Amino acid sequence: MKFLFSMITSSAILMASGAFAGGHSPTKVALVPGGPHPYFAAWEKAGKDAVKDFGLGKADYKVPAEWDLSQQNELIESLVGKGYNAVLVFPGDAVGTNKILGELDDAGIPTAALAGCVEQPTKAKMCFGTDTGHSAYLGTKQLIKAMGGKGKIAHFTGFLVDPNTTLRIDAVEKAVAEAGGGVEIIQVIADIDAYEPADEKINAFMAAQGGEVDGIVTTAWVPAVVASQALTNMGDKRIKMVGIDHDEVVLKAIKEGFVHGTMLQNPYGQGYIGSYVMDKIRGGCSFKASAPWKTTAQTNQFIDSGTVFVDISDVDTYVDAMRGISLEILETFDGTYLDC
Amino acid sequence: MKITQSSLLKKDWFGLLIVVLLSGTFIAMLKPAFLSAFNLYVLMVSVSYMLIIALSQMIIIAIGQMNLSVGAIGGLVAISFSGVMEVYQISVPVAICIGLVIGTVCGFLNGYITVKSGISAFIITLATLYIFKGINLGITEAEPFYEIPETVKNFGNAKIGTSPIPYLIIIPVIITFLMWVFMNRTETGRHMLAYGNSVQSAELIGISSSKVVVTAHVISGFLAAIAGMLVVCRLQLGTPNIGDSWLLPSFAAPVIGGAILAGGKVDVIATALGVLIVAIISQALVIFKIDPFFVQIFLGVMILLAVFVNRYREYKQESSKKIFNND
Amino acid sequence: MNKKIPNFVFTNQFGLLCLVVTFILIFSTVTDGFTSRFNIFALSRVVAIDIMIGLAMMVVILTGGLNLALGAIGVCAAMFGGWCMETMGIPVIPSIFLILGMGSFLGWVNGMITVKTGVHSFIVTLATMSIYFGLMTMLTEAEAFRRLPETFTEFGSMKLFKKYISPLLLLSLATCGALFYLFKYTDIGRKLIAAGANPDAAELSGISVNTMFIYCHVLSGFLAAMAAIMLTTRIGAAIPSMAGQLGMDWLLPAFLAPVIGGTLLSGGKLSVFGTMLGAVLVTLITNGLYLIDVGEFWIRFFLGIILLIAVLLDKTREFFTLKSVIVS
Repeated sequence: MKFLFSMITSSAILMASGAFAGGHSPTKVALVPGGPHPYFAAWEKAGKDAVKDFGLGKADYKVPAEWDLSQQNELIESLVGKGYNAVLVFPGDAVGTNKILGELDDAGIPTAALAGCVEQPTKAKMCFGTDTGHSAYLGTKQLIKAMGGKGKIAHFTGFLVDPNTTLRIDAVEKAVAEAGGGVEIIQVIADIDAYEPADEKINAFMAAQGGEVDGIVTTAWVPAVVASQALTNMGDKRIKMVGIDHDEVVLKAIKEGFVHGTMLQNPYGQGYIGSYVMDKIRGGCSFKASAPWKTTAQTNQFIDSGTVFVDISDVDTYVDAMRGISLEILETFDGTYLDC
Repeated sequence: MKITQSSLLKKDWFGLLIVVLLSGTFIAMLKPAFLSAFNLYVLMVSVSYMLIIALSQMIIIAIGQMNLSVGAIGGLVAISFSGVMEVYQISVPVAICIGLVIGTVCGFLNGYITVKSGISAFIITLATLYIFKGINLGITEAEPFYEIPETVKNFGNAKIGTSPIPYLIIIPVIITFLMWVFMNRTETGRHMLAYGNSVQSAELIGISSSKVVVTAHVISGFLAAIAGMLVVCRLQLGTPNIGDSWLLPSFAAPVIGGAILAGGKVDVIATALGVLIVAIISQALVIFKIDPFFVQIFLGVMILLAVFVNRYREYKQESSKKIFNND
Repeated sequence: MNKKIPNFVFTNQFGLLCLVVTFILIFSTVTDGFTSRFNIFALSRVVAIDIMIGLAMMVVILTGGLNLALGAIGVCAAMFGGWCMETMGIPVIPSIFLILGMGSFLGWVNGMITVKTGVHSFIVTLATMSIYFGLMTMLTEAEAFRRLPETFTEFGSMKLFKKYISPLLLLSLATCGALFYLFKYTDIGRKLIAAGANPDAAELSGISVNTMFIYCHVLSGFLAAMAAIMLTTRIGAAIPSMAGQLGMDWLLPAFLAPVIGGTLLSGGKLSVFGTMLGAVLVTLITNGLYLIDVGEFWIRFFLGIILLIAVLLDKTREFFTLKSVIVS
């Protein structure tokens, strides 16, 4: 089920990009997430498809066994030792990762930040991911709309050490501030990107404040799953919730009406298009000086991999929406961003 | 009357019971929501598997050793339990048996290697912690198993009738009782405590160390397996990071319950109350919207406090007996 | 006295040396890129930090204790250093002393509590681990210090010896040398060992065992702070997650190196060079396993197996050495 989305997307792109197939380039891309996390699972297939469709030498998904910057660095170093010559990385730290990216650049290895950004100045060629702040902002807007423009909100989010978490907290605050006086954040629970602590804290919250809260916004995978489950178990349809990502539990809760909607991201597209871009850069392309970069709080070399709000009306067809976005980015990428 | 009072005071669990009652009353007075049915339910859910985790560690503390791999065993069982159900469509009872067997085997390995090598259980279970966790990650590649049968999910979330009591807590309560019987009323249990007290004198009176150590580790593994599966019921998915956060609480509860790490002294009821105290206060922190970071500090402070209190009581007992013992 | 050579052959260090050489030979033939300049440099940097972490644990194991708060101390010291340099604008050199002071202080707290309560340091440091780490996250709000002076962070990228070796490794080797000297040739070092080997006897011969144990914890905190400084220069920022949740990610290297290196967990026996070789061996094997492509998820499994084999081998070696001594 979780691969359905990636499979359909991939086959669509595959058809669109048949022209790329051919001999194998010497590009060996390593796709390195920050640690084990279900969000990144789609990168594995994305890398394989990129090899098939664009004729890369390799595009392998390599996961540090733990969420730990040192382990990630060690893994990247050994991958380079092994002959990988392009690295797509979800930064273990928004600044800490820059050091190794600089060293890779010195060694002639192009890198890019994927799914999350590193702060500037950086040697990463681009940051290709969800504009997480914007996504959290849009999600909160949807939530406030569903709540009828007033009420009390709780925000559950992920690792405090994740560079995206602060952006998300700020963005939710911004959306709430824009709603005027009617909406209020009563609690932010962070650092719960593991199931057991998330279950404990979210349920304790529900027990204590479940009666007061009118809306929940979750901006990380695990809290979204656990909160969806908690609402389903409680059988509570009064509290509105907007989640994130496409975990089965969240999608099911949307269909059953316990969760209002979710903000989808595009991990498959990130891995697939990211690998493609690395190959292009290794082939001598460079980013245009006039490339229409977006600017976020962290970087001004940002490319949005797309984000979509999905609720009960389109939860069954959301793959189409994401596919459309991926195709659009890929088709126009060369012309928009690259000088070859 | 006076005699019963003082003997009650000497019991580890008596002071803890008072702490539980006082803190409960105090929190309930400030936040009546604390006593709401749903809150009690949530409290009991978190107590349920923590009880088993604490007992799993406690039995190893009883023999004067440590088991760092409790969480790793729990995690491995959790993903095996959910994995066989998802991948091979194995029925729930069989999956439970598989889980228990895996936990028992893991525990047996811990005990057997410890006994045969004569190396401290600390190092052996540190090694097996990485081995079990490694197998877990190798099998799952950090991806959860989702396809949990409805019966399992329901068990993890149902309440008994209209009461706030979760089904989840039934097994832990039974096991706590059995463990109490085992530690206090059976020969093997007493042998374990004797062994924990002094390995040499235990061997002198004919207690087999290998039997005691292996049995303790097997029970520990078995309990960790139950805890792992209970967490799967609760979370409704088998995620590989189950067990990662067990280490600190697994020691916290027995130590707060007055267990001495050198072995020979553990108390099942006091350990259970230790679990309850940790759970009540963790929940109070959320209720009072206290900084989540504080939970960590709080656990640490609780352990240290318990250590000081135990030490003080020992000192009092020693000085009353006028025994001078310099260690 | 010409038994000196066979004696060395029977030591743990010699066995380790053989293993290190064997693994180097295996990996350089079997894998691509093991001997590449990039890989050797990267290895030298990882080894340097792991040696330091291993030494920090070793000095507490000497007392028959453990220091679970090692990583937490390291992270606290690094974050404190980040605060000194970034927020307070204190120059690099004084900051380094402040970091080391912070590490030593936290180690001292561990030592004091352990000695005063007489409780095993496992439980004490388990508690202080979460207290230190919790306080650190509360005070910093888990915000990293990312604008450290370049003179400080450059050290981590510097390359010596035709760009093969990191200066961090030299620092670790120098620390090994200093510790070796301390334990072998100084009065205080011998007292530390005596206190760890047999506290009662040491007490009788006029050594204050409690003071010695506190010294060991202070030294452990100091070395943990050293490791933290090295790690900070290496990643270019002081980050709360640099040693994982509660600093527990340091524990595996911390135990692997001394235990493989022949330091007895019961205390009283240590081997500085064994610890060094232990760290080298572990880093080599981890790197080699990555290169052979056993799958990164299996790395931990193999590290666990290696630790197990190492302690079992050590036990067998002890057994045979004992036997050969009895026989001769």
